[in-house]
Amino acid sequence: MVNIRRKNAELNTHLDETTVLQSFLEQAYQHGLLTDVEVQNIQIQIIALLTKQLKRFTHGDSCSVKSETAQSIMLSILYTIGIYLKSLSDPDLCLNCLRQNQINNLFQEGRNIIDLQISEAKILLSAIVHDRLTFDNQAYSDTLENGIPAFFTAYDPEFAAHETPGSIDYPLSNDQMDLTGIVYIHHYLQQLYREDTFCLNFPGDDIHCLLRGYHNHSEDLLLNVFDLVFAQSIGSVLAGKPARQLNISHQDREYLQQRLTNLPDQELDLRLQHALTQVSDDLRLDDSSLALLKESMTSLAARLKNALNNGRLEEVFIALKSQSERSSFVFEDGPKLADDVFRDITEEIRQCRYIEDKLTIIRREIRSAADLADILEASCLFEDEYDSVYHSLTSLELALLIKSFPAPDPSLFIRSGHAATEEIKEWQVRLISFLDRLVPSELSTLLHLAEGITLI
Amino acid sequence: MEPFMLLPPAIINKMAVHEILECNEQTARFGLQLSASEALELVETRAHSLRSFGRLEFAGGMINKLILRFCDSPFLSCHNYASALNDLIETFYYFKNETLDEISDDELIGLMKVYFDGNCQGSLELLQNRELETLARNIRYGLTDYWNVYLDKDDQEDEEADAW
Repeated sequence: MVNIRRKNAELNTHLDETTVLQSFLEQAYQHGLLTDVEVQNIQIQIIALLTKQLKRFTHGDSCSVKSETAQSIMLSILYTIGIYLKSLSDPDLCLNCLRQNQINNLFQEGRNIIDLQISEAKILLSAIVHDRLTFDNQAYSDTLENGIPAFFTAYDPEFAAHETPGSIDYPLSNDQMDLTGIVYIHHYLQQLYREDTFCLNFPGDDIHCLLRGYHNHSEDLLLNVFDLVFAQSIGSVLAGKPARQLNISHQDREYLQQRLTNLPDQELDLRLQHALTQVSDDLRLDDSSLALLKESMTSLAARLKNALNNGRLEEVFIALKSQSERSSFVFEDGPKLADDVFRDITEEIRQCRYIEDKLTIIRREIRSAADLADILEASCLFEDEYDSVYHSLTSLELALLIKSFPAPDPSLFIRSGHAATEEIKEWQVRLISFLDRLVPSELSTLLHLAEGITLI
Repeated sequence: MEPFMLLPPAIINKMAVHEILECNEQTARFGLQLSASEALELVETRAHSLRSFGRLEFAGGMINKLILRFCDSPFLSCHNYASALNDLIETFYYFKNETLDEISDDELIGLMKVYFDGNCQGSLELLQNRELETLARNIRYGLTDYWNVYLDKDDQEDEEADAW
């Protein structure tokens, strides 16, 4: 934050780019730093610049535009000038600049900064993509492969510099969501580069195992991998291990719980600071990375204190999970029935009076898990008939049905008892109630089986 | 956003009225002339249209273009001249929005004149509700020959002829 005190006036340039000029003029005028004539002159120049930009926007073909278009172009002008004013670290300089320079010149300077930031952002993106982390996460891949490139394609620095097209899903450890336009993208990529650079100090396999330990379906979650790796590294150092080691064992967690639980906050903060320094020394981090760790330490400290108080240290220092623990076998589904054959079968089932006959047809005709799910959904079965079907199925068949539940985690879905959401179908609601009536050990075996299946 | 008031509206209106009255020299040979109060009414219609259709004008001259383009129309006389211009101004801004700003001012004014003198035979209602509506729809549907407002009708006639 940059503040100046002059003639008892305080000017704050730590504002959004689109509002910094207006706020600056207002403050300067109120405190007598700019005269009436100077303010009016600046206003006239801004209007002239808006007119020039509108003519360029319409290619001189039109003498009027929609109010929203004019407003957006005005915001773009203010944003561009705001970027330049914010780049001058000294508000006195800003004032002199506004007094002495034409608004056109300030706008041009802002455009130059935007162009420079676009080039830098593109270089950063290619560096990140080149050295990208190998972990499997949909949001991370989408953001790097589609979201940010879409920004560069759609971004219009001339007439919509303040807008942020594209889509960014991957969350940062410290994401400044209040920024807009190229300033946001530039900041995002800088931060992501620093986070990825830090994570590259650790073996890729360990990060995979860490993510698997965090959640079985971590690839579908909006998570920040740096936060997890950083916490693990700090935990490792606190437990007397090297910073590079991400594996924190059950014994380590118990040891940490005993050592840290009753420490006063200040003492705990001090230990965390020491751990941070040791991580930095062990990994030979530069100032930029160290600054990133310091920024993230506040939230880690809060999470750690919370976890210690609740005796849930495993939420912060995660147990790694190797690949073999996750998937036990691969299931190749049988061929699906043709549409007309499937229609005939559902019609035949509908015409049956007794459930035994329906079960016989299902047993005889259905050869794939996908068809079984379709039959359950095809309005051929009514009320208690679902239970009869589920009773007749083998454990593997039930596990396959569980597997077809809405991602990311069917077991959590079932255990949480969220049976009445719009996403799930009647047969799934009935399956949940059927599973609820099972003996806990049986249910657990089924869920474990479902978890271990990889469908191809 | 606060509007910047560089010049008082009265002065802006006076300048616009003066510009409009200058056109009288060229329209007089068609027996068409505007009085100062009629010119002021046109300026007010423009301001009202801009406000009601949510548009902002950054360069003047649209009214003059409209006057000079329409002054040789056989369907304008000294009896309906001023009121027709008021309607045309309003129509112009309405269809700038409806055509999604895809066509230039000159092209829209040119097409309005062609339709007004041609198919509409001087009827403003037909111009607004039939020709320009079709033009706007053609533009929104992305047709390349959007100006041909009888495209559908021709096709329909062809189809009918084929059917017979």
